[in-house]
Amino acid sequence: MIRRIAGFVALLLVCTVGVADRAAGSPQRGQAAKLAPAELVERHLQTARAGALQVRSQAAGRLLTLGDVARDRLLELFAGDLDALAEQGQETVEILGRFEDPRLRDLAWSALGDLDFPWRPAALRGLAREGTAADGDRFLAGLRDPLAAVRAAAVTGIEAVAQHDPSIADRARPSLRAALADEDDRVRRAAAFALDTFGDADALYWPLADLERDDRWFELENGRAARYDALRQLATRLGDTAGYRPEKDPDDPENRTAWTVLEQRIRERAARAAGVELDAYEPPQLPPVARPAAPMPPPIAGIEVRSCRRGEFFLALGSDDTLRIGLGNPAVFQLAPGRAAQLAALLGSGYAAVGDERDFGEPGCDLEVYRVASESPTRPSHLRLLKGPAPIPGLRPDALTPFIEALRHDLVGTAGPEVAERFTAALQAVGGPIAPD
Amino acid sequence: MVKRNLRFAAALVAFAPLFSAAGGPAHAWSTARGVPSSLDASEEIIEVDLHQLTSIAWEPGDEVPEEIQRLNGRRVVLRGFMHASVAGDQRKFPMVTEACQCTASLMPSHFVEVDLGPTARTGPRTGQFEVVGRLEIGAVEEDGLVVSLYRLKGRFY
Repeated sequence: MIRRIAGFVALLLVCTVGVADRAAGSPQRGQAAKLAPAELVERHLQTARAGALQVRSQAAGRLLTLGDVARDRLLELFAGDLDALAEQGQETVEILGRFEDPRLRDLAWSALGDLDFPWRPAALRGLAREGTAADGDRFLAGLRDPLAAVRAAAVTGIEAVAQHDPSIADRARPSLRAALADEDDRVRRAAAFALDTFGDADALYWPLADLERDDRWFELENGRAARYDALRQLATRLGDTAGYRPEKDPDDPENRTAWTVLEQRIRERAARAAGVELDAYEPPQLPPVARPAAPMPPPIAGIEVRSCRRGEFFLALGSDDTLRIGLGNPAVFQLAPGRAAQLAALLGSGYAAVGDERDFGEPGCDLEVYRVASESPTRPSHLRLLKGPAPIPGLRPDALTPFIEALRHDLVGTAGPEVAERFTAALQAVGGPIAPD
Repeated sequence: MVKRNLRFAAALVAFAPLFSAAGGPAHAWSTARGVPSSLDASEEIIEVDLHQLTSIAWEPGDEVPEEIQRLNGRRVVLRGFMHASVAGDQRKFPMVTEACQCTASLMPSHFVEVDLGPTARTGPRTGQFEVVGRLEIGAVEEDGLVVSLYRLKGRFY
């Protein structure tokens, strides 16, 4: 059990939210004003690295306010040393690009260019906040990144660049239109709002479709989360929410009315942008991945893999003998009759073999979570592997191997070898090598 | 656990008239059962969508939107997850809409700090659960940094 892991107590003390940065010797408020700038830099670096999770970003932000002293120290510590930068954590990585210093921005670009660097999304998010005209092609390249969080940050960067170089809108348009079919809804929404900024108001039909989502992945309410995020941003473009309430069912009569009002506003905006009469305007056809999912039989087992280096995978086995890949409206592949139950039984055997243990490793940016939903799809039984950027040898119990191997076999035969390879890479990045069966 | 959640669902159905004390996204339902001893059983409990609290655009120094500020001091029920960072037995833990917020930094507006009280403890929980208690809203600072925006003193429902 996690609680038994020797040495983890120290990490627990600093990581648990609610227990703020009270480490011995940590200056209290009031004392901070008396510290020299160089001392403040060290203090903020320490808090950004090992303070309570919710204050790390704030501490890193304080470094920005210290200007040249912080800049010089960051260069001294991390220029040419991505390993040290990785250990410092994503909050500090994220502010590098926000310094108006080409050396720190280059350091952030170097981090992004290293596929084994664990905080690549953070590096690009920081760069995107202060995007310069010279960065345009790099942000465009980011749209093809294997990590969804990097692709989403690249969209933000393109919008920032457009403030200095409006010509990037035309150069980025084909890639942004392609991103409307991205497998990740965060990327699709980012692309949609960027396209609207660039005059393609029809792209707002994508977040509008999110308002109709009510999908879950086991207990995860992804449709609800999408409704909140889409509505918040739509309201800024369309004036208000028209009374839509994301906490309520999309089919609630009030929400249907509000949806109709929002759709009309988008239709008028898109018709104007396209230069056509409202009556003649035809809304765009959304790709399947961007449409609300049709009701599906419940999942009976699944695996969620989130690797800070190799990306995210969500695979579920449906009671209708389907293999579903992704969230929202997933890609669905038909398996042989009885195969889903067979795979779920293999996973159940793995659970039984490890006894009562359900958590392995220590909390961090990587997750490998297995689910068996024997009673309810929203109340599955979990088995979790957790880790930070550093590998933990032997993290995954060998008893899970038969399930993984069988699932990989089916992935090759359905989604294809390329997807199976990416899935395997993500698994290996979290739980380590897959033991021989 | 399943039985308890069925009871919870039944309570939702029985006591779910729409309530708009918060200007919208909250449902009120009365209960004399499952109320922490520190709470008045006759006081109304509001079901609040955790996403509503955690999806606001907020940075230290910002005001909390009025429709959310109105929930301050109210007894609420929240449904969500324990943040994956929690390990060992804890009196307090961050409640979030998704256990793994792996690709972005955790900000004070992204969670509700649940305080189970001086004698209660909990270990890590992996599934979705509910808590009931009194919600407190407002930035709390330590060493000049905001450590929480939302706090709830209560217990698992």
